[in-house]
Amino acid sequence: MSCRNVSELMSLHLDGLLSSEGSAALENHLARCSTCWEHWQALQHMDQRLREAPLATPPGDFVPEVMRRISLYQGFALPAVRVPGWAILGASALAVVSSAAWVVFAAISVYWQMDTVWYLGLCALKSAGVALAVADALTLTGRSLLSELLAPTTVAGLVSLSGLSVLVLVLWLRLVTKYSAWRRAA
Amino acid sequence: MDEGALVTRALAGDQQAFAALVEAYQTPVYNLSYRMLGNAAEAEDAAQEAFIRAYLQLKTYDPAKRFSSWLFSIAAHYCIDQLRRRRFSWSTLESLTGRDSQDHGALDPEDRALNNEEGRELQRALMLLPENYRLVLILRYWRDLSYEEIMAVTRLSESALKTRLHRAREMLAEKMRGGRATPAVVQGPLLAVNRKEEGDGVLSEC
Repeated sequence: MSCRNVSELMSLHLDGLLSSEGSAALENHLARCSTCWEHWQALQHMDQRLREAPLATPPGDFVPEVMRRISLYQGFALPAVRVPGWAILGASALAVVSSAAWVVFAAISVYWQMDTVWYLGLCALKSAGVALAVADALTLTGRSLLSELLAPTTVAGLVSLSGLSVLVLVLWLRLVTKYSAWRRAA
Repeated sequence: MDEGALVTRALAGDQQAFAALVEAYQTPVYNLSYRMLGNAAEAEDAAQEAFIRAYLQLKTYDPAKRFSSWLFSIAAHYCIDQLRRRRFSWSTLESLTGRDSQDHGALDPEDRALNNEEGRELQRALMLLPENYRLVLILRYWRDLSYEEIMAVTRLSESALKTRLHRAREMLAEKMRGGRATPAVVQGPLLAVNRKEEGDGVLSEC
């Protein structure tokens, strides 16, 4: 038996997992090999030291401190995590319906109007927000603010964009609260 | 009350039940963190973090397995992550400052488990081992875990665990031999061997 194999037997023997045959082989080798004998002495010494090493004990307020941090986490997390199901469904439905409305309107404008590009451009422009619609109403066309906001292109664009925005916001909030809320306990 | 019942109650929102689990496992989890990190302040934080993670991931615990193995696995992974971050931050700092610190695992002289020179030497030698090797020794000695339990914590196969324990012992013995704590004679050898005197005619196989 080689010294390398014997070294593995030593480790098993320290764990009490060596068979009687293995023990005999180990004893036999140790009786004849001074290098392994010294190594076995060092291993036994190390084993003894490890077995005698004390357990490190936590400070007295460890349990209340853990529970305090857990309650902190709960205090922060509950309002943010609980997005009601109807809100997600509503936001999804709004996004789908308004996006479909936008597409239908664009298709109609393509079919009926010669200046299709202008119409699509207007939809895109107005969907960028109320501020653009206001600016448009005041400076570009001279039409009233109310009629501008109620114009089909503005309504379709705004509903579509706001629906998508709500959906993305809800999904983002759920993602963030689910995967990183635990950090708030720290 | 047994662990399974405590886990069930904790899952139902009973914080007292989880507090009882923390109470039962605070010492082994803290000791594991302490022996892995070598620093009382970091160990306290890591042990707390392990319990918080366990609480948050309680739904993923499989009651068919030991709660302790699951908990130690969380604590061990967190400690290894911390050690890797520490190593990264040290190497970054050194590359910036041009200094080569040899004191990455600095020991806190006030630590309770290091109240004597022997304890300090042992922990110092332990800190010189790669973290995965240190972990198996800690689980084997301070928790007296069986091979099956260590395999559950570390997800090593039996043969891999045997090899790792063997190599960890070799390394630690070597580190301790380098120190001044190794005595020339060990009292009460664990294996009774009637060693023949050198030069008795038996050829060494080494």
